[in-house]
Amino acid sequence: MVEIQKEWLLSARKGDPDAFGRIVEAFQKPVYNLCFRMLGNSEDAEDAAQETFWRAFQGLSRYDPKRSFGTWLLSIAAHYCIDRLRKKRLNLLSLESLLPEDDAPDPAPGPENQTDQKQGQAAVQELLANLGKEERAMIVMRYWYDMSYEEIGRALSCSISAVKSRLHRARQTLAQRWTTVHGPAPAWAGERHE
Amino acid sequence: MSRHLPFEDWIFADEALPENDLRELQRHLRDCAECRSIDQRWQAARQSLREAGMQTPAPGFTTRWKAMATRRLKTPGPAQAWIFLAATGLGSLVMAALLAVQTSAEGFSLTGVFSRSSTAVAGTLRDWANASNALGMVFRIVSRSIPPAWYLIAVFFLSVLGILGLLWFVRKTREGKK
Repeated sequence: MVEIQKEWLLSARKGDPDAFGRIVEAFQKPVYNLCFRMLGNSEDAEDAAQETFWRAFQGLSRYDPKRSFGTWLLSIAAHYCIDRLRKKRLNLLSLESLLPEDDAPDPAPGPENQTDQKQGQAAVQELLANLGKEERAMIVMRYWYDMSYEEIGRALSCSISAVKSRLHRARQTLAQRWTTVHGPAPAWAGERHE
Repeated sequence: MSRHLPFEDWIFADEALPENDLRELQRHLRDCAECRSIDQRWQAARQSLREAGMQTPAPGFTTRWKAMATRRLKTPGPAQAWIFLAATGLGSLVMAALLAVQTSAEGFSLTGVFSRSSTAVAGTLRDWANASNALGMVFRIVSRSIPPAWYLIAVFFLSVLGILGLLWFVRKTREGKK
């Protein structure tokens, strides 16, 4: 996770949006990615990421410096996305809406690679869309940010045992849905590698 | 107990399995097609999650955030709306209190009100030291000199003003969020 300088935080706490802008710059990618994985399209992800940073800016006085700032931000983002999904009752994400827009900022791969990437991203999103809101957040935190069970529990306000059991259930769902989304899994070579 | 236990749990275990458990799982996976299929699907799904990478926002994200933050900072917040509502509510209460004073008073007449008003004004001009007394007197006189209907109208007006003000703040706040 990205680290921030204490001076940025001190200036931002005084209410300076420019100072907080540096924090936004540093954390835009992880926050946006979480929002995208949760909400499934770039427009909603942009709105949610912007709102996350605004809420963090407004609630900076509540941030405990002993904790990781990134985890705190992701916690705000996850809660916001869960609320948003609850309100919109978005259970399934349409494949069409997942196609990235023309101004995708990543280094440009070739057209074939781009198509592969789009399909891959859409398939991942379709897979994630089979999960419940909280389970989706847990999977994203675990597999994109390598967060520990404890960190996930703290971020989503639930116990470690709840995180473990829900992640287990989420993995089962992902395995069940894999064939539907991707077709048959690759042939098993006979040895399970960890 | 299912013959797939504890293997199903081990398939989805996040931590590395102890060597003995791993060997036992591998043996089970060779024999059990059902668990093998689950394991293959989970390994493939996990790999796709790991390979999905990070999505990045469109360029200019920070600039857009700063513009939004500046706009929102200029927009009155909900706290200000509540203060405005409380002020108009208090105004309504004061009016109601004046109305109560007037309706409980005896011997109300316009001549008396005029006389008391003149005395009050003269007293104020003569002696500034009595200003506070005069103000108190004016308050009592004013409360008696205005027809009761006006108080009701004022209370109604302030209430409507309060509600309109609140709606305006809410609208402004929402505009700011967009």
